[in-house]
Amino acid sequence: MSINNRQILKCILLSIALIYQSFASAEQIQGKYIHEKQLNNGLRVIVKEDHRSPTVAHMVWYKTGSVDEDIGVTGVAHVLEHMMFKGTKTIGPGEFSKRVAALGGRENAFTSNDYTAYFQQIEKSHLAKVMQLEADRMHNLELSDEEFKKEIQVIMEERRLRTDDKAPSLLYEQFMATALNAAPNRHPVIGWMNDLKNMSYKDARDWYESWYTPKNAVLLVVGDVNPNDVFALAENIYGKIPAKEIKERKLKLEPSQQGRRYFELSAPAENSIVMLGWKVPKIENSQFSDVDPFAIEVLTGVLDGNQNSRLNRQLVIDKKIVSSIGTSYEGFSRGQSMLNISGVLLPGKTPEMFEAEVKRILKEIAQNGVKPEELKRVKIAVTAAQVYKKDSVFGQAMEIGGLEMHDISWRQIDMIDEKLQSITSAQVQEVVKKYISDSQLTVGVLKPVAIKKASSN
Amino acid sequence: MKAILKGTYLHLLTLCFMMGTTHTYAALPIQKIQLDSGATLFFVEARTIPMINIGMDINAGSVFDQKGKKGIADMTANLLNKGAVVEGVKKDEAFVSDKISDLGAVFNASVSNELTSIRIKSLSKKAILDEVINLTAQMIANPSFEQKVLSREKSLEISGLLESQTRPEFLMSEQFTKMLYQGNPLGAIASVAELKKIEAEDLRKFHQTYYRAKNTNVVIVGDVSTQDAIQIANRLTQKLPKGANVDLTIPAFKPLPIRPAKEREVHISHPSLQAHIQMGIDSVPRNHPDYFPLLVGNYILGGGGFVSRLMNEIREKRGLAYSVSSYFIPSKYMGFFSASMQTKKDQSAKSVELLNQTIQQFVTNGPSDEEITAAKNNLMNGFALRIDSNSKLLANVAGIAWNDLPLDTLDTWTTQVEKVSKEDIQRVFKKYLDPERMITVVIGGN
Repeated sequence: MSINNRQILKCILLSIALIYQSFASAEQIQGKYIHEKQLNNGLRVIVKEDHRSPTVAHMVWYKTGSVDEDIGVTGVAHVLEHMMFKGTKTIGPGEFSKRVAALGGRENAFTSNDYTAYFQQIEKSHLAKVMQLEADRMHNLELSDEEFKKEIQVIMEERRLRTDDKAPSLLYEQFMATALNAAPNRHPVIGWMNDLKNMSYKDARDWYESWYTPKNAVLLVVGDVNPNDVFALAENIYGKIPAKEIKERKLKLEPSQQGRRYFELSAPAENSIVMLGWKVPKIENSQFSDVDPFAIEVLTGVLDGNQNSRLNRQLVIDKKIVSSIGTSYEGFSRGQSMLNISGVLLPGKTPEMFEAEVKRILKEIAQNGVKPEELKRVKIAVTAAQVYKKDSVFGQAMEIGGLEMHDISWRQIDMIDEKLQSITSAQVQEVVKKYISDSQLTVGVLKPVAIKKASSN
Repeated sequence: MKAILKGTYLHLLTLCFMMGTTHTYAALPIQKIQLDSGATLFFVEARTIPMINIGMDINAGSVFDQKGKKGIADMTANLLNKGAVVEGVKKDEAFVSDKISDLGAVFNASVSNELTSIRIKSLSKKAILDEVINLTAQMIANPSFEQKVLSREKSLEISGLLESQTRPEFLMSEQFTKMLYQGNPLGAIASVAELKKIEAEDLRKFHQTYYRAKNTNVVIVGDVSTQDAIQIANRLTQKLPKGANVDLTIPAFKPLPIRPAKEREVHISHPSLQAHIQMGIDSVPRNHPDYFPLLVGNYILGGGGFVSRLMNEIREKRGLAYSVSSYFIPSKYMGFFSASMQTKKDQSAKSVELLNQTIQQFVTNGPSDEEITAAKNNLMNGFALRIDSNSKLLANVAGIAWNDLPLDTLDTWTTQVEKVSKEDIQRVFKKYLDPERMITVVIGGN
């Protein structure tokens, strides 16, 4: 019942930085509890034991997301995700959810730029039943025009709710579309409204045919299970699905940026929001040889890891330019990575002030590096997160799945941690020098449009 | 921003927490211990992960805000991690934040209308935990409440509030709260003018008056022994302010009156593409015997995610909304029922009608036998998922403690669900969901 408004705003900004968590949390001694096997049809099965409670998280991750979409059909990855609940050759629309619910399960699915995943959390004795349901819709989906026409309305409502009526979301959507020209994460996961309006069930069917194959998926089971039992079940249930090649993936690289980009967005809001973003490198080819992405990750912690880190300290507490500030970077991405810093301006402060101050703070790091205690704090957070994350079975499954979709094995999780722990002040300094320049910068400003004082009857 | 969920999964998780309950397979025993400090400890030993979750629930909700200065309780909690007297020396917010980060700990404080909740997470390694407790105990007992910090936090809060007032979902919940609570301080909402008036002295007074050990439940779940848990809980509460007893009585909640439909429905215009719709009515507090029939019945009506009646009628059959659900929020002093959805503007009238009709049909005819079986299957089979982590367990135990529920609440939870009959559900829904008292708020409709 508490209405803490500043928190709400902060949440919106922080949600942009979501993926940071999965990158920053690594774990030691993985191997002891994780097991992997590949079925003949190409499906990879990963099992992680966690015997704390008699529950299990069952997930299927498909390596296909909005980055695989073409112009004109943006949003189709997410549309198909919705359609996956609309019935197969053997069960009717909505039946999937009914059966999982009756088993006491919780279920859902999510689509991101890079992947689409489906999950059920369930008491362990029901694992085989949810496996059967999930395997069924991996190759038996029935897509009808009738179901599609209703569901596309739901998805348009979803777009209105999450994006069109939310100024910070609109700003982010415009920001990516402005900062990027050819990289496929330039268009939103939910899709442009016009594309949704013009989509047909055939587009969804094509998508399903192109990407939903055992070879393009990873099955993940985390919880109170015996790995050999799970492998046997997987063999029996998922092993029957015929192997199938996936569509060819086109590499969509961003051309180099040659100069600062700037745009404004007018939308109903009270406060102005400024978003700054620089093009930066990501982890390439599953290799950790390039230290820069790790140094950028540590940089985000130094800038925005806690209440007293540089950005909050100087811009919220000391200079009172913004009411909140958020930093995000995705080291693992199938699109173009960006280092984004955004702030909600306080009354009387200008976007120019914010931009100048953020650049000054970054320049300071470029000149002098960071203090040992700042570096230590970021690394302590990484270490503590490794322990805390064990409290959630689902969180552990999310971590492994997210990495797998970027061709990073659970065997490499320890190495990610080691890399982060090894980053020096000089390396942080170096990435700022190398990548933070106006030629790589995009600036987006939300210009608030006042809402007529509400009237009630 | 990156991932998009198909449905209301996150919302459902919140809901489970709010229903604040549950339990057992191999029941983890809850130990209830009266502490020397005057506080009460609820402890669950959980040894598998080297960490500890600590909760302090203080009877210091925003309901006790001084009249005309709504926001004091919230601001008091907000400033707990922004400066304190530590070992006799005044330390600023930078010191406190750095210290917490150096220990790898997490500290949060939040306020609801009923209580102030502090949550601490730390590694259980003795040397670290010892320092975490030492620091946080002093932050909670000796906050500085510096004027300079307060002024800044007030301006941040005000900027946030003004932003919220542009959002349809906020305007909806504000209007709904106003109508539901009818002036009871449990439903008071902060305004910019009131926030401006808050002074450091108000926070000191609030802290002195309400942050008392005897009004505090300490909940601990984690990798420590009972003896250590007792010591931790004592250390966290023994330095809290002492003094004469304060009156913690809350004005009795007045049920919504029977009124003609027109007087129970409020429409507020807004430029948003979607209309936001909420309807609801007062119901019962958490410790009421009708809680379980309401829980099972609501699963069928609008709590059961993709399989509920509301979801089926509004989303699956007609594609009118992305998210539609209903819930009972049972708290200590009162409870309420609420159903809500969003839909594009020109569908708002039709949607309000359909929402109403679906609810009333359920109240009149009750659930079918199949629906009851499905609901019980889900709630009972899914019980393990409600307590499969230390943080979920902490939330549940804190709910038991705050609502004065029996310690075996988690152990008997599934039995209580099983006992609910069709007649129970029909009786309670008829009793509480009175259509002549139900209120409706529509923001941005046609």
